[in-house]
Amino acid sequence: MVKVTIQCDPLLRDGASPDQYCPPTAKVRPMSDNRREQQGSWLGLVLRDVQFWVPVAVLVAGLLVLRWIS
Amino acid sequence: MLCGLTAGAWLGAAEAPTKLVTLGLSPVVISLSMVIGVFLARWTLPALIQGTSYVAADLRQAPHLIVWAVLAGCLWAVANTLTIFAVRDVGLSIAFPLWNSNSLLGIFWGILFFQELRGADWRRWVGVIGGAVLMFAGATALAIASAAQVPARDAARGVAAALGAGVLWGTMYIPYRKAYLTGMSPLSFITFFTVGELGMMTALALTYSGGVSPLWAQLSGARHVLFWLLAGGFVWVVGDLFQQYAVKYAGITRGIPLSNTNQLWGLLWGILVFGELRGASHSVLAQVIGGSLVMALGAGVIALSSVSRGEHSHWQQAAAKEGERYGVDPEYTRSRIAGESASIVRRRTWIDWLVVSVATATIVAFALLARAPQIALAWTWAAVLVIATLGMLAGAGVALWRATRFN
Repeated sequence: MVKVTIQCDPLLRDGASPDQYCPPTAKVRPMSDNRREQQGSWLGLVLRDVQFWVPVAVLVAGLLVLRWIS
Repeated sequence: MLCGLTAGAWLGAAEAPTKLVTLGLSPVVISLSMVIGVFLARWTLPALIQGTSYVAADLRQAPHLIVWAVLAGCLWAVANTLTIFAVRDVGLSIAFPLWNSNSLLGIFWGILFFQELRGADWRRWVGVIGGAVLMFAGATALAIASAAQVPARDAARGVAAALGAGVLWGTMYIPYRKAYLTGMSPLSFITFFTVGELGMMTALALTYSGGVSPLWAQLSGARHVLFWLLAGGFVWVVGDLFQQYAVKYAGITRGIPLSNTNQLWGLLWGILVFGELRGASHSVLAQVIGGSLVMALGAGVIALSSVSRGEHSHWQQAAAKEGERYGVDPEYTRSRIAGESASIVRRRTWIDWLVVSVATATIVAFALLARAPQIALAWTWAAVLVIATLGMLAGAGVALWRATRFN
């Protein structure tokens, strides 16, 4: 799948029409280039990541401790 | 491992310029001034070493890491401010070992979230955990011995501040590891880390100084010593950069405890260069020597517990999971974790030279305003430590370049 993406890159960059790249065959499934879509939603992915909320919670707690001691 | 030890040397040396500052400055102003130096260094070094186009290429692969980097910077700034209050309230002797517990928490997060030490044999488990505990014990002994007899003003608040700093710093390693499992270069990560750092520190300084005008007045009043604080921040960044590489290539469980040897280096600067503990009793000196030996032993045990092949395969699983979650090209992650360039071309543009010129001009301007501090220094020992620190930089830098090309 990675190989397909690399082969597609020059064609995508040069503005090839969709039928010019990754022609479907019996062995290789066409791979959609969804990276632009993923870039748009990366913030959503971060917010849905449980690990993200651990440092956020610690940061809020730290600010509360700072407010208490100062 | 070499990066972790070099980080310790440079982070310890960064404490030296802060000792040159005469009393009378507010802790928040000291912290903010150092962070300004840190900010300048964090943009200059990546521009010089790799170029901003390399940083931009890195971010195109994993743009979500900007959020993680800024979050890590915010955690650092709050932790650093808490340590200043902790030292004020309970003194260095109690505060230092408490916030140095961050490596124990970092190990916990590494095992829980990033599969560190999974697949490692029992010797490595004992080496890492035992080494970290030894270092913690050594740090406690050193801190007690080197205490500046600061009276405890408010023990509960001071302990809470020190523990809070430890928890914040320990948790800061989650974003670090997140970035490095994805394959990002530490040089790219720190560029955005420092945005969070400076933003949060400025907000805290404005809040605790009472607004823009009082803060500006304090900074103007301190202009003759700001250069030394900026320099401290710059030196600190070099140490932190090696710490980040240690986390990337040796994991949190090894990298962080090794870089915590900074306490040993800070002690060497204090005793040999600034004449601290002169005239101290034999029991205090015995405590210092004993604590140093225990800490060095702990660092040695961790350094010998290298990452095994089985553990590496678990790291790769964690990295694959991370890449899948955020849609990062697996080839990019694979090659960058292996220290390869992943076909990114390094070239410097006018932006890089502009960044370097502005940062250099700022530092030179503060240097012209600076006054030589009136403080007794043992110049011979200072030269010895500077040479040793530069030697470690050269050794680790060459080794890192050969193995990873600073990826």
